[in-house]
Amino acid sequence: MAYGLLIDTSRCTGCRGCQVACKAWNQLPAEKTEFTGSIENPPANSGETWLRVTYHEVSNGSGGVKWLFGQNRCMHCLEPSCAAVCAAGAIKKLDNGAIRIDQEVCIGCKNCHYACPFFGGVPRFREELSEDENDLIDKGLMGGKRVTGTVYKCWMCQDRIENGLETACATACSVRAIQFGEREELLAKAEERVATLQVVGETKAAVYNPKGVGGTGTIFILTDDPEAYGLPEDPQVSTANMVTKWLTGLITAGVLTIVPFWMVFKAAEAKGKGGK
Amino acid sequence: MKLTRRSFLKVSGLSLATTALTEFGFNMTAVAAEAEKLRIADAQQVTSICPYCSVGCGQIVHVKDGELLNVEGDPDDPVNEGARCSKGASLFQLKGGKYALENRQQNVLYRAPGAADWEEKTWDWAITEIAKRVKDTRDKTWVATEKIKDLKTGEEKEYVVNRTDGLACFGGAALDTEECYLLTKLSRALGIVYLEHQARLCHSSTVAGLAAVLGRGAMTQQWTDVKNAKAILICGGNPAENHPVAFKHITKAVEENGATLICVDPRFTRSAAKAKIYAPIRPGADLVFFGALINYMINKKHYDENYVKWNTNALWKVDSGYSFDPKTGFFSGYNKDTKKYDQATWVYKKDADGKVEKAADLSDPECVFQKLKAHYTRYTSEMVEKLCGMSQAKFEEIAEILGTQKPSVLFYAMGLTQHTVGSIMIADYAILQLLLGNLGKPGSGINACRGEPNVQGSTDVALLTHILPGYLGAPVATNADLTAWTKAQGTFRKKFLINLLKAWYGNAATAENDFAYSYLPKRNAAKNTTHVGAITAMADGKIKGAICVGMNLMVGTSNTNLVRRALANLEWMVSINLFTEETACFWRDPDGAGAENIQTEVFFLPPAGPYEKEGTFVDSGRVLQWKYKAVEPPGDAKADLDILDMLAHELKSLYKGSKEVKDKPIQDLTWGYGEPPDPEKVLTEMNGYNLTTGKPVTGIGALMADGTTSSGCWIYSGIMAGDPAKGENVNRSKNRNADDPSGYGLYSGFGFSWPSNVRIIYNRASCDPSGNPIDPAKKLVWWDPEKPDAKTGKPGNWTGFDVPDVPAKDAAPGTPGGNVPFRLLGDGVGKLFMAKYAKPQPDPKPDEDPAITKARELELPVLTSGSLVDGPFPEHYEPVESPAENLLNGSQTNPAIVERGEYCPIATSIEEYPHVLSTYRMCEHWLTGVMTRNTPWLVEAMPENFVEINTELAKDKGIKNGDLVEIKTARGSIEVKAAVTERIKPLDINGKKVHIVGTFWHFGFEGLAKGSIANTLTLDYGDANTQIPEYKVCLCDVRKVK
Amino acid sequence: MRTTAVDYWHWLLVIEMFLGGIAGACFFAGALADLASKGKYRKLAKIGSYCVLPLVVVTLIFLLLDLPPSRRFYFWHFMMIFKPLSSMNQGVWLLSLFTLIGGVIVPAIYLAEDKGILPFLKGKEGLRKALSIIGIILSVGVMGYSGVILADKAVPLWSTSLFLPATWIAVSVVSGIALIRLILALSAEKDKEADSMLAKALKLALIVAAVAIAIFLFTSGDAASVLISGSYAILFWLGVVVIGIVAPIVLDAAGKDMATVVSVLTLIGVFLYKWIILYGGQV
Repeated sequence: MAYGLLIDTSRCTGCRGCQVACKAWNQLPAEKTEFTGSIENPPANSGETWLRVTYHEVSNGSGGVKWLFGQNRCMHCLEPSCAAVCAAGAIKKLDNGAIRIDQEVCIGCKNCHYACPFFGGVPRFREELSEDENDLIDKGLMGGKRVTGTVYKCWMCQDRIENGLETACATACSVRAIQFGEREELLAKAEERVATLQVVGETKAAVYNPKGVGGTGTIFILTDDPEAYGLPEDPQVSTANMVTKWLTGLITAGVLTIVPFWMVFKAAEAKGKGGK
Repeated sequence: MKLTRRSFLKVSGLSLATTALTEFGFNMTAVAAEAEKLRIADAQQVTSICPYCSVGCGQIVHVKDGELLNVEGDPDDPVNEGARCSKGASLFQLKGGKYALENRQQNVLYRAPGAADWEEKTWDWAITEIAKRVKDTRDKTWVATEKIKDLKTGEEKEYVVNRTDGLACFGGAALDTEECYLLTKLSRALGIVYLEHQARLCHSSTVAGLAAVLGRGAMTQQWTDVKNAKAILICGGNPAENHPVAFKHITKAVEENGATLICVDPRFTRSAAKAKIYAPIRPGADLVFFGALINYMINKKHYDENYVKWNTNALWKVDSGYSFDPKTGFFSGYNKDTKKYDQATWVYKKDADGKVEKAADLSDPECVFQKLKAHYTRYTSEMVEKLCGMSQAKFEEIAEILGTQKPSVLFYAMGLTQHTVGSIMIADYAILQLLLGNLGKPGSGINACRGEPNVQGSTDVALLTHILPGYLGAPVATNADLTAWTKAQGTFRKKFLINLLKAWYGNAATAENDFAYSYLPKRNAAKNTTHVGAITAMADGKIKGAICVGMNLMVGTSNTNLVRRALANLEWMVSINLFTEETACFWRDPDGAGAENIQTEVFFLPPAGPYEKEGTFVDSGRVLQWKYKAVEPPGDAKADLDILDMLAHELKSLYKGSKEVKDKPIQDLTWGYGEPPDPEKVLTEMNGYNLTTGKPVTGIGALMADGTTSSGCWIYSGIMAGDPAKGENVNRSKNRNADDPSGYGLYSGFGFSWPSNVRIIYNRASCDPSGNPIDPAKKLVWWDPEKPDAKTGKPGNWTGFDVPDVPAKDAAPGTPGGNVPFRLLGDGVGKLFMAKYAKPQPDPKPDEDPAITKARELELPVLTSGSLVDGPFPEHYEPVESPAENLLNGSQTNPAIVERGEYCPIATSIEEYPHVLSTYRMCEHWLTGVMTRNTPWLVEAMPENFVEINTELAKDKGIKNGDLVEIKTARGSIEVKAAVTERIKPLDINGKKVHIVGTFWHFGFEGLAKGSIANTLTLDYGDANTQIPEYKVCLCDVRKVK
Repeated sequence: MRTTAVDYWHWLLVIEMFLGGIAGACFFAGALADLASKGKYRKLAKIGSYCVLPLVVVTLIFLLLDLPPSRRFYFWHFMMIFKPLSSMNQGVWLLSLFTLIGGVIVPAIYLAEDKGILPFLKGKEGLRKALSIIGIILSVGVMGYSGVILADKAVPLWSTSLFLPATWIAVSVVSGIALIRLILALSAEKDKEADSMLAKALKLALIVAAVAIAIFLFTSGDAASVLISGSYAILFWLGVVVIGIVAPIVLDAAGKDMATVVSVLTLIGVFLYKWIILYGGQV
């Protein structure tokens, strides 16, 4: 059964319970941060931060403000670019809906990071593990695998969902802004919820489940344009035109260079004959 | 050329193939997920309660072989259903992880006079030394008797006061209830009157304000009952950030019950972001807003006429001597010299034989309702626009919703309480709810969002100078004996004081010696013994030694510079906290006098953390829940209960054999909680014993006035009366039955709520006078004429989904006890007019209890209820530092407040300090930040303090986002980074543009996340009734730091 | 707008792409010259094919350096799967196959001819021709794959246009020709004729490259602004266009014997082009 996560930004109060719960369950170390003008911190996802609450201040059109609470996290695409480009075959799409990196296979080339169309590349590299993590690994108390010099991201709490628990973030959420469940059911819920929001005046309310990546396991309910939340309007599978690009290259450059080249030296050969 | 064209054709042709190819590549067959091992699979699960705000979220602590593995929300706890905010989610790091292990204090520390660092010590050494100093200071500063001048006659009289003015004790809101109780008990036995804690600074005005109008000073409903509301007003609070899990229930109300969420706040908070309606308001102008709401409800006839007639004093006539003069802003009885009111005229009109006269209907000009209407006519929507900066349209929109969508609940916190008009502001809130009939019903009420995990409990057991456990008035010098005390408090409370004295002094408390009443320290009513009073006395060198239990005075007290002086003037100080915070380390304060110049001795004792010990927390909804011990405290750390127990035994042995009267309270103090002390024994002492059988009493009803029972905190009586036959624990705080037969979210089987497990207090008000539910669809409690009484067996009994909040189960409607919805007020009804009233003894009956006859002879009332010292009706006065002039009456500031003089300089010109400064909190940090600023995950999310400045003001001052700015007030200045935002906007106040800037007060110079102390800026002028400082508003200037 | 804290991909990758490109290109140029001229310029083919192995080895060394120390020696994970949809995996196989044929077998045949070692390979003309043709095809793949690795990413500058790989192949060819020309120019016996041939070829290759880059920029839309007017504009116009393309053509046109200078300038231009594309994409 394919699971998913429904992020209802209309409910989120930005308390960051999920952000910390993710760190707590997955025992991820805290990063050194500083205040730079926004209450958003850490400034970007990283190997130590797999889920981040984002805060976007926009005008409400009538002199006031709208404060949009969003999230940066793995979208668990149905057509995952990261998995497509992974040359080591470390990133797999699991039958439970998660896109998972096998840390022991990953060799840290960061190809997946550049292929991901969301949040400037969700998979992030980690140089080393913290003492706390190594301590837990030694005691055999670390969930999943941890390998230094590999790329990390949300793994949809495999250890929890494969043992009948909801993900740490969904469990922590006070206002059901994060719901974990069967993806199809969540989609239905989302449509329903959006309809209600429309009625209560959230005219921009919409489900975010972009087709360009085949739909996402992490479904958003937004109350404003995707851009306002830092989400791409129409993300595409990064490898969509890979073969076309190959052929364009081979034909244009390949042919365009081979032909004149050939002509030059063909002529040379002829001239050489005449010379004799 | 040709070639090229052809090649392009090829491309286009092939690109089709391409997409097909990629498609194929993408329906990549999903591989089977690996079976993962759950790292907590074979761990032991221990339930606990979150130690942050008072929502009381259940936690599950996972432990394996004594090692902490994980902490997460308890899905079975109806309050949070497993949810946690960022603070709650970070609990693991209080004990787990490298940082906590290295930085959490695990050793006893001592800082010698003038020393620049700590030295490690042993428990034995520390307890002996501390006890020595306590005894020494106490003996030196003992006050046996005191001369008090009678205000009326003017003659001086000497009274026995048995107290020390040289010792102060602070803190306790983060301790377990049992620990707080022992702290109260020990402190009182030592004669300490400077006994204060966080409640003074966060909700003391709530207790005063709500008690004056409703009888009890607590949140009236349950978090889980909020879902039944039709409208929710958040004003002076920010639950989304400071009580995040409470928002779960707000969201339920909005989504499942169609409630409208309204947020009124100076800035656009995370709560505002979720509200349907947001309205800005100038800090300190809330009384104008509430007054106008009251006026609006009366004019538009939105008030609930029946409710008002049945459950309030609306029909009671007011004494003709009462008056209010808008020109001066004074109520009748004001004395300009003493700046005090004589409340003689704030009473009801009585007929010839002393009975209160009642009007036939609400139109009677003499009745309270008409007086109320008259008083608030000045509070118009125009006035709201002028003084609050809220548009009339917005105001009327809000008013109409509150007037038509019932029931509604109000959420508030420090935004209302921390003002020089704090108590009347809360009273105003309560009066509004009385008018609208929004008390005692499901989905109605007033939610005082308490800030600390157990501040409700620490308040219940009275870690406050003016009360004794169970909200009994602490005696003042003039309450010379038990009878004098009873004259002021009434026979109803006398019974409970006797039980308290029996609990504390056992056999030494006898009917002959007034139950050892003389042992209680008596404070001087004219002296300010509250928090700020204590800080001042320390600064003056009057207080020699102080004990801070989990209270960070340096960061938490307003007007920090005075605190710096105060701590430096102490001879010795004891600090008990999880981390060495700013108070324990005040001597190395970068803005202080320098360690070498500070002679204060400091003892630091490491306590056990929240899930490292057993005991109860009382949440904001008055529910006591038991926390179990999950792991051992680290290093030398010990539970506060053990620390207090060691200290008590040491003191008792020091005073052993003394013949002095002053030492009797310590010698006779009952103290036997086992070795090691057992918190459940302490809880049982609070519950009370039947001293003849030695068994715990079954409830408040079983307490006797003759010394045959004891109870350390009468409102908790019945907590140890669980019935195992019914599947309950004997200790009902351990109950975890999450059934909710009513569907209202009462969860009566989960924990135990005082009094007597009533979940919605004043629920009698949900019925009509004859005891039938006003709204049968939402019936909560009712009078059942058939149901036989448990004791007498006679038919007729109160029953319902909730425990009926009535004096006696068999008090039939129509009888004196049957129609007192607000039974802790002498008046028995809610007070729209806060009259001074003393309920007389019942008319003589042939077969009456001789005690009553005696009481009548002594003219002892049954139950008294006072007014607030600054008026029987809440009236608006401006903050001490305000950019606006009071347009409502002739008195700019509250006439009943006390000047602070040189202790707290205030702004003299608006030109110098043109902007309004407010300080507040954020979700990621908690209060003085002792725990959160030492939690790496939270520090990561909120690494530094910042000041929120509106875009326009920032432009004028050339301040950019992230720039370092200086905020300056008459008290001092701090440097902090700027957050330039539109979430905080300038307001048009009576034609003048007023900018508001706001910063957070969580930061200090110790811990992982450091920052300058924001309270350096705030002032410590106190509320007229409770002396809660006016943290929430003052005047400031900001500039960019070059 | 990327929020990457660090440039995960940096100069090491530029060197890999540069050297890998030349490895493919010099075989491509040499073999092609040989085939077209019916063996008249076999010398070029030899030079080209001898260069392949050393260049590939150096490239692999840089690749290893580029991988995180802890994972460096797990690079064989790449070889554990055949994944035609991963450009990086394609690259691995292309490079391996190409190295085997163009970097080992073909040079071996030449060595057999000249030095007489490995006699069993002597006179295997048919085999050599066949392998040269296969080698040429593979070499184009080797020149192209690192371009495709960038092109199938979610980075606008790299992925918006279909033509990045095209430019990659074009500039690589340029670099290959330039390298052979440089070697020729530096070698003991000068060969004016071969050099003038290479000069012609280089000019044409440069023009093709210029056209390809132009199409690429044009089809990249806003994404290309970082090169045209943005933070990498100077490097692009001065480094790539002037130094790498215009100068060589002009200097050669001037007629004097500028082989060394021209080749070096062109190589610099190609290197800079790959540099600004990699970094320009991460601005």
